[in-house]
Amino acid sequence: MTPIRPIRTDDDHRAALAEIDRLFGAAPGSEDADRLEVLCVLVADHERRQAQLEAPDPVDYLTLAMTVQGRSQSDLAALLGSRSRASEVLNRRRHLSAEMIGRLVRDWSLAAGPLSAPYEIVGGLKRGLARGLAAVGIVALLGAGAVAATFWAYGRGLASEAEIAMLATDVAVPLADLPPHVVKAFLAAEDADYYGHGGYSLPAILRAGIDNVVKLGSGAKPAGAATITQQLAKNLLLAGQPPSIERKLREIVLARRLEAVLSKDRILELYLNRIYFGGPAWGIAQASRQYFGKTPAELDLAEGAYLAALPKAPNDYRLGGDIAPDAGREARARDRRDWVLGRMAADGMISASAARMAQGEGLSVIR
Amino acid sequence: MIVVGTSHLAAFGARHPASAGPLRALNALLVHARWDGPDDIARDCGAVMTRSGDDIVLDLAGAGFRVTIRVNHALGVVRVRGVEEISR
Repeated sequence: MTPIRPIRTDDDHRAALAEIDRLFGAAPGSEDADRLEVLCVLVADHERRQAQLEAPDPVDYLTLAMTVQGRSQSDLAALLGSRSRASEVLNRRRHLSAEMIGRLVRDWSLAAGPLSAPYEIVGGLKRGLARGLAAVGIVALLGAGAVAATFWAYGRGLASEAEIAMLATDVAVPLADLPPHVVKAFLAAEDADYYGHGGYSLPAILRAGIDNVVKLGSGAKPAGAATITQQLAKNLLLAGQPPSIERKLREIVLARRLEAVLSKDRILELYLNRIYFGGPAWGIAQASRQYFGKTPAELDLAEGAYLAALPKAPNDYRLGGDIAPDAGREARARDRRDWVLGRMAADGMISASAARMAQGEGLSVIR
Repeated sequence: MIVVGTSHLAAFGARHPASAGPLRALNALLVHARWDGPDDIARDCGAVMTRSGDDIVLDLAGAGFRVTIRVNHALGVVRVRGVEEISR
């Protein structure tokens, strides 16, 4: 049996398809079936990389699904609750709402991903104008052109809601096993409005936009305005992409999709188990062990606040291990930890006296 | 499902731009399908499908084409074997 080779050329592609046809009826569990599976994955990946077929328009997808299932516009009207609603959707005069998509997924077994992609509607001037004005506001404040127009483009090719839903990977530490003061420390440090926003925070984006405009030309690092959901989207789905306005837009699109399919607690749990803490530590379990020789459940308030201080600039605030003693670094790390404790008190997560007591403790990391 | 042979869909779409939208939609339908057995295909595509040996033919006259697929349920693979033009 010849070894399986990567598919690089049209000839490779044709040969792989021919072998797939030859092996297609292979008995499950056989060596041929294993080979068939690998070939199929390689061919599907090759065809995807060739970008031979773009993602579908949601109305095209809905229309085709109705055709193959033998459903009529009357059936759609019954599902959506009115004839005019069905007509407007099919004639692109109205967007599919989240509720409509939910019914189509639940009752007609359609996939949420293709129905959720952005698309243009005809008419609807008033609604379009309102959205356009909002988008123009963001564009102006961020100082970046064509943001709204590019959201649609950046949404294509990114992980769909259905694909995100399948990312239910195991985590080292369930959220329920973390002490509440540790979770609160991260919320205070990274995203105090976490449970109130839908994946991205418009006020934070606007603040960052203004801040960046004020700092323009100063050489200062631009403010990020990334929510916990956006940070998870970046780590989970955009790893390795350099900072840019394009990546920020992708983060926002993916953050919305994450919020659509995963609960807030699940997103927070994934975030805490995947975030980078400096050195070799990824995730809160590794960080607790690296910095304090403890499990996350054993962390006290000051230790939790120190870990929550790290994600902003892990290698700047990192202490211990192979980091040489440095009074300046130690002071910056302590200031950042104390800032987290102060935020926790200001947000009512802990009492002011508890914050003061923890701020009085040294940084007890393993040296 | 893993879908292979989408090059047939892309090539047909390039020759028949009016069918490009439905072809993309069909590809998405196949990718997101969960067909553990023949009954699942009948449930999802019963209105347009006919069987021909191991092949399944989806007759999409409204979109201007007919597509032939073959399914390996054990591996979750759909092989697109061909697309041909039909009158709308």
